[in-house]
Amino acid sequence: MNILSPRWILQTRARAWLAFSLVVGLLVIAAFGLVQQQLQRDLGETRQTTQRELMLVGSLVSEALRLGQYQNLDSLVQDWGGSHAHLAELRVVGQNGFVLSAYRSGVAPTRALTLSLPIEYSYRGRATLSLTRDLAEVYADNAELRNQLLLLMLALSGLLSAVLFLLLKRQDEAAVLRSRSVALDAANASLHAENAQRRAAEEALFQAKERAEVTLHSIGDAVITTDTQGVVDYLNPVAETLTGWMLAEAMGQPLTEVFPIFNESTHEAVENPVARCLREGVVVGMANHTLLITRDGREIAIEDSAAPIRAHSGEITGVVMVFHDVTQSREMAHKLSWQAAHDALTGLVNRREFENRLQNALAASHAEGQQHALLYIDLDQFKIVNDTCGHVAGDELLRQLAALLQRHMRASDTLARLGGDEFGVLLEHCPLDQAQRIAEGLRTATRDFRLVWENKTFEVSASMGIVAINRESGTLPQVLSAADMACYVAKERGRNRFHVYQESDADFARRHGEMLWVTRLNQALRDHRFVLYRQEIRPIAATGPGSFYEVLLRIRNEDGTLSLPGSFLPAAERYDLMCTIDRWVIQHLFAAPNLLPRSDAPTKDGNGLILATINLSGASLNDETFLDFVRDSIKQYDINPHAICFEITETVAITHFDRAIRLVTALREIGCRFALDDFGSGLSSFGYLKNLPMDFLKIDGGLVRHIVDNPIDAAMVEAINDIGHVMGLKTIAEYVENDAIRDKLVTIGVDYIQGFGIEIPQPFPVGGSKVGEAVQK
Amino acid sequence: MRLFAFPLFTLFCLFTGVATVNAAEPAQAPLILAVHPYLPSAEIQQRFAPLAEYLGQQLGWQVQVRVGRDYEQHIDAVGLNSVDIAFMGPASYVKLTARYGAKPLLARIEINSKPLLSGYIITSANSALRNLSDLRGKRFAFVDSDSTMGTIVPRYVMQQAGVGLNHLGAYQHLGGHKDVALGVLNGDFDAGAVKSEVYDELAPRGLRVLVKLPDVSEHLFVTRADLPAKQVKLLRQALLQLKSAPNGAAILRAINKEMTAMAPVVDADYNSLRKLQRAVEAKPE
Repeated sequence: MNILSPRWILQTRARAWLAFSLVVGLLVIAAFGLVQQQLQRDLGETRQTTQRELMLVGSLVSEALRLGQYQNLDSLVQDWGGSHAHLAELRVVGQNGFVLSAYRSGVAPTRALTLSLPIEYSYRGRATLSLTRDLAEVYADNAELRNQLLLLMLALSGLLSAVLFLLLKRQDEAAVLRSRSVALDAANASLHAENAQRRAAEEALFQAKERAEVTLHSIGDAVITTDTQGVVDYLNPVAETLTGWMLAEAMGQPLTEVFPIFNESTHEAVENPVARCLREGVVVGMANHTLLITRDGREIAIEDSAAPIRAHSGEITGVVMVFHDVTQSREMAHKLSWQAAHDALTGLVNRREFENRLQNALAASHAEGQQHALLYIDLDQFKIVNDTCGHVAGDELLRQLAALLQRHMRASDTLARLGGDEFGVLLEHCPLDQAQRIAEGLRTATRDFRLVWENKTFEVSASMGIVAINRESGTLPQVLSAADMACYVAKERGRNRFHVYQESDADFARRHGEMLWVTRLNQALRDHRFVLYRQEIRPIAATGPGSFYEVLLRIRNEDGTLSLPGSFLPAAERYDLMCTIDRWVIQHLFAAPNLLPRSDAPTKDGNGLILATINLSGASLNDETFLDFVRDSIKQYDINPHAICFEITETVAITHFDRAIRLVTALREIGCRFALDDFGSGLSSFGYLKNLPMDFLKIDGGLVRHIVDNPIDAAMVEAINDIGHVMGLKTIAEYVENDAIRDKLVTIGVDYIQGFGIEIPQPFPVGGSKVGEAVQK
Repeated sequence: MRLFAFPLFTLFCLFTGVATVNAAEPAQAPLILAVHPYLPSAEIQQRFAPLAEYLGQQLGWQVQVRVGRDYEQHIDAVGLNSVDIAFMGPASYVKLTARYGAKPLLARIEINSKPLLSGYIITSANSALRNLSDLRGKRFAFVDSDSTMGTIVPRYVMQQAGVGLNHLGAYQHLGGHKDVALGVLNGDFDAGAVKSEVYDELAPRGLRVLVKLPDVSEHLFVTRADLPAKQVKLLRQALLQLKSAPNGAAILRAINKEMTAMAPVVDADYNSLRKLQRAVEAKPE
C-alpha cells in the first residue's frame, strides 16, 4: 500500500490528523517565509524610496545652502519632516559638525533606516544630509500581513480540519453503512433461508403430522392426550384396547374416568401422572407397581410416563401420556425375584433369603434388643425315602412337609429350606419359651406326617436346634453354627426332639458330625491323606482317551475307605477350609512329576488338549493372595500355564462377580483357561456369562442326565450349547452316563463330554497308592 | 531712463488697479500694511496679523498685511505710495527718504523699552579673529544690502577700520540676520553682521561678538504720503497708545518678544544713519 495515498492516510484517525498537522505546519512555515520575503522586499523598496527622497531633499538642501538660505533650509527641513510622517529624523550637519537643521519626530523609532547624503555647495561648502526613516510602518504592514496570513492559516486550518473531520465522519458513516448493508444482506439472505426453511419445515411438519398420526395408530404403546384440565382428547388404538374405552366415548371424559390407576400391592388409588405433570410442568414417570383397571374390570399392570405438551411460548397446552401393558414382564420379574429368594422345590424361602432375614433380625436385636428365635430343622431318616423310592419321592416328601410346616407358622415367621433335608425357621419377636412351643408343634406335626408313595407309607421325624436371638447374639455364621450344633445335639440325643442351644453344645458338636469333619480334614491335611483323582473330558468325536481331565479330590480314611467331596466339602466350606484345600490341590498337582507339561512343552498332542481343570471355591476367589499364589506356583514348578484350566461354578462366579472377573482376567492373561461349571443349575444368566471371559462352558449334569427322556432338558442343553458356541466357548457336557446321552449330545453338537459313560474317575499316580474304585465326583 | 521705466509702469498699474477698486467699492478697499521680507513671509503675516486687526479696529478700516519681494521693492512701493502703511527698517527708511522724500511718520518700535537698534559683527566662538583687521581675506556674510545692522552699519564700521569689501576674501548678502548667524555657525563664513536680537538668540550655539556696532534708531511705521491727515493721526495715535491698549502688550510681543512699546519718531532720529550710509555709498568698492 502506498503510504502517501489518501486512502492510507485516512485509514486511521491518528494518521489523518498527523498528516493534517504536517500540512498546517508546512503552511505556517511557508507563510512565515512569505512574510519574511515580503518584509525584505518592503525594506528594499523603502530603502529605494527613502534614497529617492534623500536625493530630493538633498537637492533642495543643496540649493538652499548654495544661496545661504539657512533659515529657509531649516524651514524646509522642519516642514518636510513634519509633513512626512514616516520620517523620524532629518538633519543637516555642516562640515564643522554644526547641526544646521534637525527635525525629529515625537517618537523615537525602534526600527529605522538612516541614509546619509554628502552635499557639496558653493565652492567649498560641504554638509551632510542624513535622513532617518521610521520603519515601524513597514514592520506594522508586515505584521499586519503576517497576522492576516495567520488568520488565513487559522481559517484554512479550521476549514481543512472541518473538511477532514467531515471526511473522516463520512468515512465512518460509510463504514457503518457498509457494515449495515452487509448486515442487511446477511439478514436478507437469512430471511430467504428462513423462508425456505419454513417451507421445508411446513412440508416436514405436514409429513411429521401424517407420520405421527400413523405412528400413534401403529405403535405398541398406548397413548392418551388430555388438555390442561385433564380432559381426554385423544386415544390411540392400543389405548382403546387397554382401557376398554373407544376414542369417541372417551373424548371429553376426565382422565381419571378413562384411566383409573391403583397401586399394585395396596390397591389404593394412585395420583394420576397427568395431574402431577400439569402441576410440576415436567415429564413424570408413573410410580412402580401401577395397575390400570379397565372398563370391564380387568387389572393390567402398566408402566407409563406423562409429558407436558408445550406451545412455542413454553405454555403447557396439554399432556401426553404413554403407557404399555407390562403384566407379563412384571409377572416374570416377580417370578424371578421370587425364585431368587425361594426354593424351587418347596416354594419356601431359600437359604440366601433366609440368611438375609436372619441378618436383619440380628441387627434389630443388636440395636433394639428385640427377642427372636432361630430354629434349625433336620429331618431324620430322610435318606431312607430317597434311597428306597428315589429323588422324586424325596422331593414330594419335602414339598408336602414344607406345606405342613408352613401351616404351623405365624404369618410373621419365616420358614426356609436351607438345603437337602434341612429347614430353618426365623421366629421374629418370639421369646424362647414361645419358640419352644412352636418347635414342639412342628415336631409333633412332622412326626404325625405320613407320605404314601407307591403303596408305601413313610414316616419322618425332625431334630431341631433352637437359638435365642437377642442383644448378646453373635454374628450370623455364629448364630447359624449354634443352631446347627444344637440340632446336632438333638439328633445325638435320639432324634425327634428339639434342643435349645447352650455353650457346651459346641464342644459336643466338635466331636461329632460336621464338627468331626473339621478335625478329620485338618488331620487328613496333616497326614497327607488327600488323594487327587482325575476324570477325562473327551472331545465328543474322539475315539480314544486323551489328556484333558478334571482334577478331583478324595480323602483316604484311616480305615482305607475313600470319602467323596460331597461328604467333606460342605464342612470345609462352613469351617473355612476351602482355601487351604484349593491350594493343597494346586500345589500337589503342580508338584507331581510328569503330570503337567513344563513351560516349554506343548499343551496339545495327537489326542487333543493336554489340560487339567481345577475346581476353585468361592473362598479362593475372595482370597487376595490367591492370584499371586497361582502365579508363583506356576513359576516355581515351571508349569505351562496353558495346560491349566480353572473351574468356577456359575453360582460362585455370580456371587463374587467382580472378584471373579478380576481373577479370571488376570490368570487368562498369563495363559490359564477357565470353565464355567454347573451352568444351567442356578440362575443361568447369560447376561453374566456375557461379561465373564471364559473358555469352556460346562453344562450342568442335572440337565444332561435327562436329555434323552426330558425334551425340556434337551432343549435347555441345546440352547446353552448354542449360546456358548455363539459366545465362542467350547461346551462340556457332564454326567454323560451312557451312549444314549452321548448320541444325543452328538446331535446337539456339544464339544466335550465327561462322565461315567466316558471314564470313571481315576487316581493320579501321586499322593499315595492308586485307588481304582469307581466313585461319583 | 531705463532706471525709471519699471517704477513708472508699476505706478501705472497700481493707479489703474486702485481706480478700478475705488470705482466699485471705494470705502471697502483695505489699507495695506507693508512689511519688508526680513523674515519668511508666512511668519511676518503671523506676527503682524494682531497689529493689523488692532489698527483696523482703531481706524474703522480693514488693514491687511503684505510682504514685499525684497527690500528694494519695499522701498519703492512705499516711496511710490503704493502701500498705505509700511513697517520699515532704519536703512530702508533712509534710502526711502533719499529717493522719494519725506513720508508721514507714525511711530518707531521700542525693544526692551529702547527705541534703538543694536548689532554686532560676529564670528564663531572658536574663531581666531580678534579685531576687524583680522577680517581681511576672510569670508563675510552680510544681510540684504539694504539691511541696517546687516550691511550698512557693518560696512561703515569695517570701512572705518580700513577693511573694504575688496579686502575680504569673499562676501555674500544673505536673506536674513539668522541666515548670517547660521552661515557663520556652519563655517560657510568666517564672520558676519547681525542685529543684537539674532545674536542673543543664536550665541549659545557657538557665536561670539567680534565688534559691537553703533546703535541706530529702531524700525518705524510710515504711511503713504497722500493718506489723509486724519487717518495718519488716528494711526499714529493707535500705535503710540498700543502699549496701554487692552491687549497691546500681546500685540507687541507677537511682532517681537522683546518689543515693549511704540515710541514717537521724527525724521532726525535717522540722521546718524544717513551719515553712515552716505559714507558707505560714497566709497563704492
